Amino acid sequence: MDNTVSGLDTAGAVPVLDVRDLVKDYPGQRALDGAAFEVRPGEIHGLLGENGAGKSTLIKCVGGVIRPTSGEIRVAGEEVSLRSAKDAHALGISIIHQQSNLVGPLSIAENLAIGTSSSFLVRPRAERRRVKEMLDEVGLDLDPRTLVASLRPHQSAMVAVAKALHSRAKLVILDEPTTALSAEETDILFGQIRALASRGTAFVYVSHRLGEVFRLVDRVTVLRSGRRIGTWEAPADNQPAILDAIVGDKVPHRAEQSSGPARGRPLLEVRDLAVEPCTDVAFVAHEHEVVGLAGLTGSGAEEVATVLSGAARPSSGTVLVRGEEVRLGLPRRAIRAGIASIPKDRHREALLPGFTIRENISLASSGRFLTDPVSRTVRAGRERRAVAEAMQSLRVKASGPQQNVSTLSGGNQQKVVIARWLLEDFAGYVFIDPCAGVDIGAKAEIYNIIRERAREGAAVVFTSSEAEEYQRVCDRVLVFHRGRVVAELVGSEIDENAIVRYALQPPAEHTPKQKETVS
Amino acid sequence: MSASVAAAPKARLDVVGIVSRWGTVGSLVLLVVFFSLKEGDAFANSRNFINILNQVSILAILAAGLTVCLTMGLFDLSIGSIATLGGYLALRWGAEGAFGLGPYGVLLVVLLAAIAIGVANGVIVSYLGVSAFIATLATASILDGIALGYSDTATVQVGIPFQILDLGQAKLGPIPAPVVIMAVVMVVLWFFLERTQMGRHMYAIGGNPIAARLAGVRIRYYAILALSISAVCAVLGGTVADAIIGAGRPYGVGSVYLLDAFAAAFIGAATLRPGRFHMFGTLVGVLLLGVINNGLSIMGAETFWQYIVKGVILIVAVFHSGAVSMRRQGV
Repeated sequence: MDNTVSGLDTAGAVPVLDVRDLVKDYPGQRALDGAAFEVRPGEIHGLLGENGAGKSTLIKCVGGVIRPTSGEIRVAGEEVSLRSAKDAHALGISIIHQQSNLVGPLSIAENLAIGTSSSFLVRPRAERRRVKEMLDEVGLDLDPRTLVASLRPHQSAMVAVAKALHSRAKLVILDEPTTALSAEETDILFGQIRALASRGTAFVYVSHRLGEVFRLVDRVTVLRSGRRIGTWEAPADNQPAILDAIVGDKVPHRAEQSSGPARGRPLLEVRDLAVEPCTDVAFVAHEHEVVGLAGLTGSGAEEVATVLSGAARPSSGTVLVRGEEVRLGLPRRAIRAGIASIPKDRHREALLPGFTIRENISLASSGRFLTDPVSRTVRAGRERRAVAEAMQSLRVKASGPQQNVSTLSGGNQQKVVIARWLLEDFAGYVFIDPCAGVDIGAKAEIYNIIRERAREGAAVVFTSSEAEEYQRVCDRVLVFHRGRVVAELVGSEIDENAIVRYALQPPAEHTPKQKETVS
Repeated sequence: MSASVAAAPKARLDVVGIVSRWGTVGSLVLLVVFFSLKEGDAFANSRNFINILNQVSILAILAAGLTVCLTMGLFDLSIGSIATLGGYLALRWGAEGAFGLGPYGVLLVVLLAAIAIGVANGVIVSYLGVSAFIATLATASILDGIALGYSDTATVQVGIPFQILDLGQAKLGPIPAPVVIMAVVMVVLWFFLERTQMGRHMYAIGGNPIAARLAGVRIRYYAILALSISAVCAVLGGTVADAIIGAGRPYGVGSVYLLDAFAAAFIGAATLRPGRFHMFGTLVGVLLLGVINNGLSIMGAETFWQYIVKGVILIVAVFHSGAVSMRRQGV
């Protein structure tokens, strides 16, 4: 660090990190396809790109977590081979994730002592003094005895930075550190990062939030499809070009755009909904309609869908099904009111592992097959027939209803999860990223299943982590940005480009209204 | 009851899979054969077989209730203490002619008390969020204290009505009453777990509580129901145990069965449907423990051998079910 103290005018210096032609192949998929970027000493470098552009793969390669298939990584001018995170660490590269690797129930002092303390016995007072110095260095005025769990996200991010600096990190990679921060907290964090950068530490800043990135970073590299599209100096002056680079030229393709039967009656109605980060969301989904809720992670789209499913309780607001108010926060009530939900993470939230397909499908509707309401005996024959029928209509590939669900492919497991809600008719269906981790063939089938629900008269709410999917299934898309609906796209207006643009930067934010505050 | 869960497609050729599914049943058969060859006269006759059933009946009644809790992942450590208190109350209140209800009325009151204890356990677990393991450990201690305090550590021996003593001492033809009660409890709870929606829901909660909740299953309600069922079984078992001896003891009745009930249920979870607790498996577990105890004592082996053999079998059984259920989920 000795020769790069100035932090200014270091363009000519040897880069701290220089990545060239990096390729990473996964079975059937190339995650990185010649990715490259370089970071100068004392620089704050933004790394931008859509979901799946290769940002996280690139960072994992640099951090030694995964090994690239080919390509070159140079640290301080020397080519290195990173076999493990420890290797990267030894070279002064430190990655800080949103969920930092700090231990919540321990104090700051205890956290920073892990791995930085050399003595066998703990000497609390000496340790606290040492930790206080470490915190001062990053501009945090906190008592070392504070529990990490009680810190605000920007504070724990800086504690993680302090830990990184103490282990002599020359390059700190911040991976989406601000998704949970208020504007003010973001300002504080940025001030601290800039102060450290001016003293020579280089930062790589990965984020979806373009406004923030433009305020903070010195240069920006954009990745798309695992490739570097370009690197820009003075990013704030090049916003349109950078935005184009992120989005790319996309050929809109509509496998099955609904011709859109005339809007039916309203079935699902959301009024004044407030759920972190949204403060006031309202919309109506009609019968025969698929409404997409689009937006980046943390924008509120998924949060609103989760409220509809009953899995999360909003701080205020109402949801009506066929005009009747639903008690929120209880999945059981939502189901009774007529809302079926396919949750995001099928392994964690939907499947019964090791159970039969029959048990998995009939879980929510076994009440349909009872002999009487007292003994609640299940009529096994009727149940088996209904399950077999649902399996057939969704084309679940399995030897039969008694097969262990854990032996199915991801796509077929997801069909089983959907089939759970097809034994009865529901007014509304909520699909939260239903095609994640599903092969292409099954994806097309799932799109059809979703369209089929609408054709049969249900109101469908749909979210996805891939912008491209909205134009395949939705009649209408609401685009969320930081908890607000910033655009409504109907029919042929629905297009991946438009969705990504609005999600990244809504029209209002193009005007440079941001105040430059450094604390 | 045949194995209703089809295992992974490959399992047909899978020797390890077959051994681990049928291992416990196989060892039961082998043990019976072994003892029959070794101690033919004393072991292999219908009187001794009925004797074995009689010996395991109390354990089986407690283990059956425990199995219901374990399907949804709840460890009920209070069954021993509930059995002791329940048996004591049944005999004492019966002897005192309490409430002016007669012996059957008293039994009904005691069973209602069991439900109250189960509901209390369930509320502590599901509404206060205390893990069942700790919650039932705590209530066990409280119930032990109540039994000792209420009884003044005195055993009830006089004036117990014959209707209550019959629960332990009567015979239906050649079959002792405890065996009949055991059979009724196991059949009813087998039906409950296998054939009713409530049983399905309990298994689902045990498999993935988050998924069950999102599918509309009332997890708190089922925790209360399961703990009430095991409390009722415990009281039945405790009453039978005291009735057999003809004395209402305020301590040491149920604790004997607590660990064996868990052992039987876990051996059961290694039987036919690896990784799942079910009534037939629990019956196999109970019989295995009963045959070991009976056979070894007929052979004249010292008591300590019973404990050692029991421990070894438990480890082997649980190891197999663990290995198999991991493989089932890992595929």
